[in-house]
Amino acid sequence: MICVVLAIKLFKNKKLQLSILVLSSYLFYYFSSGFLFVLLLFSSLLDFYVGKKIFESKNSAKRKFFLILSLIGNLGILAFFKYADFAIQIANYFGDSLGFSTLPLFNIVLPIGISFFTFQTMSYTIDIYRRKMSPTNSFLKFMLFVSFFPQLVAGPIIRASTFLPQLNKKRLKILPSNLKLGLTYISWGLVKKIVFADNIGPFVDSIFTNPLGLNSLPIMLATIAFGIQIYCDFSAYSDIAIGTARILGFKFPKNFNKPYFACNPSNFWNRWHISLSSWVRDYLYIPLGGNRKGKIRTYLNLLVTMVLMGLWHGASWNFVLWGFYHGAILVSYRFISKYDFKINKILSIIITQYLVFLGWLIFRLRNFEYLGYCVKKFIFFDFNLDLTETIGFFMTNIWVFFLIVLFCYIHFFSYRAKDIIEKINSRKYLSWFLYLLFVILLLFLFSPSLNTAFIYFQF
Amino acid sequence: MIFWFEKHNKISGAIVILIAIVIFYLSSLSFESTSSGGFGWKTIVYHFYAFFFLSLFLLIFLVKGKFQKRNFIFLALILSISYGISDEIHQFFVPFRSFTIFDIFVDLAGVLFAGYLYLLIILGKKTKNKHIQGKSISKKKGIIQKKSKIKKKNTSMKHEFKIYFLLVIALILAFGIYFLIISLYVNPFLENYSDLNRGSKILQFYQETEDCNQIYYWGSSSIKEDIDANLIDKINPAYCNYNLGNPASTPLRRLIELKPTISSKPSAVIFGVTYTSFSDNWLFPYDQYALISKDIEKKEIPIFYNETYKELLSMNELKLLLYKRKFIAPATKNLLEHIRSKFFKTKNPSYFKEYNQDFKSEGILLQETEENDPQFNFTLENKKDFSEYAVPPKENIEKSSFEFIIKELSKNNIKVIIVEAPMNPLLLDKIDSESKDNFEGYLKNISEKHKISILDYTSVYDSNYFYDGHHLNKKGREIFSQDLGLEIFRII
Repeated sequence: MICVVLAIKLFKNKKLQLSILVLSSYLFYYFSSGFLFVLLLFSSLLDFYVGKKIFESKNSAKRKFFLILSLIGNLGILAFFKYADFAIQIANYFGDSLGFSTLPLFNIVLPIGISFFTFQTMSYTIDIYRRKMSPTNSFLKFMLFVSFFPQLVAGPIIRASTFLPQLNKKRLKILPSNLKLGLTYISWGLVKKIVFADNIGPFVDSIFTNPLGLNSLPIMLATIAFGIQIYCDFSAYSDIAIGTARILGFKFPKNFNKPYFACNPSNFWNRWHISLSSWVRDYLYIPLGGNRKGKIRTYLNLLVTMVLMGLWHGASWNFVLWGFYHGAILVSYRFISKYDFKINKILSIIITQYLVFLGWLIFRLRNFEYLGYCVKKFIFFDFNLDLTETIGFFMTNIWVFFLIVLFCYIHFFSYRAKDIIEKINSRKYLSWFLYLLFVILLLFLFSPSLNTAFIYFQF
Repeated sequence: MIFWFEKHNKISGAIVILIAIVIFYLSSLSFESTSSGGFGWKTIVYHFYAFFFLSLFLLIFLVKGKFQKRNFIFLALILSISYGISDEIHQFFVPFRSFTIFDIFVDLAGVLFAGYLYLLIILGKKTKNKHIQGKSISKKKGIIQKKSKIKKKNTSMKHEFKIYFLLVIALILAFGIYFLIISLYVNPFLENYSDLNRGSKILQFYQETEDCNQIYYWGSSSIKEDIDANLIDKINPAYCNYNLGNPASTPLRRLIELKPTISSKPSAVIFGVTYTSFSDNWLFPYDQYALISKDIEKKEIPIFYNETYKELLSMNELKLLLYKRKFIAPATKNLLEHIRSKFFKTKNPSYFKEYNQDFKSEGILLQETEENDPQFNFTLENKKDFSEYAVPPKENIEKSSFEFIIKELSKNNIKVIIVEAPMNPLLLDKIDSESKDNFEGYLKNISEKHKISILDYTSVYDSNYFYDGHHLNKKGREIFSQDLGLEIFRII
């Protein structure tokens, strides 16, 4: 990153600057996924060419053909690398009962960030097809859009209509205001990931490795801890990506907006992984008919959209179930909301979050025996507590509970303060320096000894 | 002064070369006494100033005080830091020196500081010049906008460098505070209270113990919890018995104690083993090695250590310093428990208790209870994975270490007796017969090969004598200590 910033400062030629960014993005991908960087190149070539063809074609059948070509190309890569083994497992399951021989698994290594960049490129061709934007004439710019390293591996999913216009300025500049804001974003992201997510993770693992026999208390606490872990982990990466991009002069929209203050399921998806939820809304839910084709069809569209969104997270039944669960609560909410009864805001937040955290159980547990057991304990409270045992449990995990409480406080504070990062950034240099000092000290003191990868790298 | 060097540019170039040569020469020196990656204030000062002056003179040489050549600032900074990295790579190939990331950070701090200072100087000069120039231009052409644009650009650069500077200072200051916290808060905890401290205390014990026909009881927490050396002392006062059991200890970990053990000339070593001693799946508390690594001479690391262990053993002071952050939480927990015990008159912290230095009765978890762990049956019923008790049929790192220790002790006329530590029959039932056969077969083979006695207590006591799966309760410990004491003196 330092080298990229220095290079951008050093060279004033825009083409050279963009080339440096593309090269460093490809290098970045090469170091994480080896020669699979050719997928980036393939995706870039395909959609750059297809985008142009769609735009130039007058014939609607031809336009459709090229769109389908792009979708097959992108979804084909995604399907092969992410879902092939899952599909074979399902085929083998049914094949066994019909007496067919078992198909061997490919054991494919999942290229990092594949779900993110394929969705980005698809948004480009679909937007051109819908005549919402015109294609770019510069392959270099398009390559950068597909491979831009800050958000390449774990999002946020940036649309071409957001990114490409930002490349139209005369040249890239490292502005002090962007540098300060970017560093604030990055440092805040690092605290969320290293201090919160990585320290809470081992506690969650210890409970969910084998939850059988535990009562509701540890299961509920571990579920809350996991909710915090995944939020801190994922939003941290988004913050780091937004901050890094900002330093280089790019403005990315927010990907999270205090999701644990959502007051209904629909509101939750307006706050959680906003770039993905808005993507599926615009490119999946609305094309399916959205809410324009009657109630039953709306419910069905919601369910299909959410199941596919669940599947986007990984090739596993628990993600499908998680998507279905969210689809079901969205449908239920839509059904109930037509009765127009008022409910206290705090109560509505509590109910929504209870449902969201129940969903995290489905997300976390791939073993269905464990899942069934935990869901039962989460719904039907069983606080068969032994006081000494409970105190022992809290004392053993006191550090984790401290972090959970601290997170709740910060989350509440950031909810009240609207945008905590902007607030920190707006402080004068001395206050900003003290913040930086405090954050670096926190990182020194509380980073766990082992490296922990970002959870969302796997998606 | 700087302006003089700018004028006499070639001298600046010569100084750069001279500093680079001096850095290269100093890095080529192979100090045997200097531990790899040595960390101290002298090192910091040396690296900081060396690279501060290197980059300052390089800046003077390349930029020549001309604002138009400001792009050379980055070139100078990149060249300086690249030299810093190459210097560390160079040290990697020099005996007794090593590649140290921390040194690169200090170099970077020096380089950035020089860059910042120099930029301020030329910015000041530039603003002054432009101010004069701007006046004449505006008089002639009336271009006021250009003047404000230049001013804006300068302010922007000043702000940018202010941000870099604050970032570097925050990094350095945060590291300093961290250093103080570790030195004043974590280190005393590790030295006085932590369980992890036991390894180094045992090493210290070997050096300080007096010759009195010592018998050492080695093993994991099974031995540590199951043996009361005071009771054994009463059976035969001619010997001094010491319980040197250490939680989660395995033969591999004991290798570190081999040399000091031989030097302390004990009469016998009673080596307590259990299934986990030879398993491939036993959790290994690496920390102990890291923390006591400074006591070990690297040349003497036995060949059995794999790369991971060696890495921990050869952790330099800086790495160790950063590693110790994981003990902040236990230290705080310990402190809170101490405070709680003082105010509410509760029991002292159970897991982090100051050890008795006499290595006699060392139980810290269970010694005061005669009961069974109420959780044990439930945990056992729900436990599905017993892989940590699986003893493989093949040779592994633990078995090699075990045999090596036995050979070395016997060679030095130290009697070795193997004790199969007691196990709760309820747990024993869960261990597969293959592991049992491998365990028994291996010990039998060793015993015959090296002509040493084995005392098998694996299934002697019923579950009432146990606290949990492999720790005896108070009653069990008393009986086992007496039984073992009598048997040992019969053999000796």
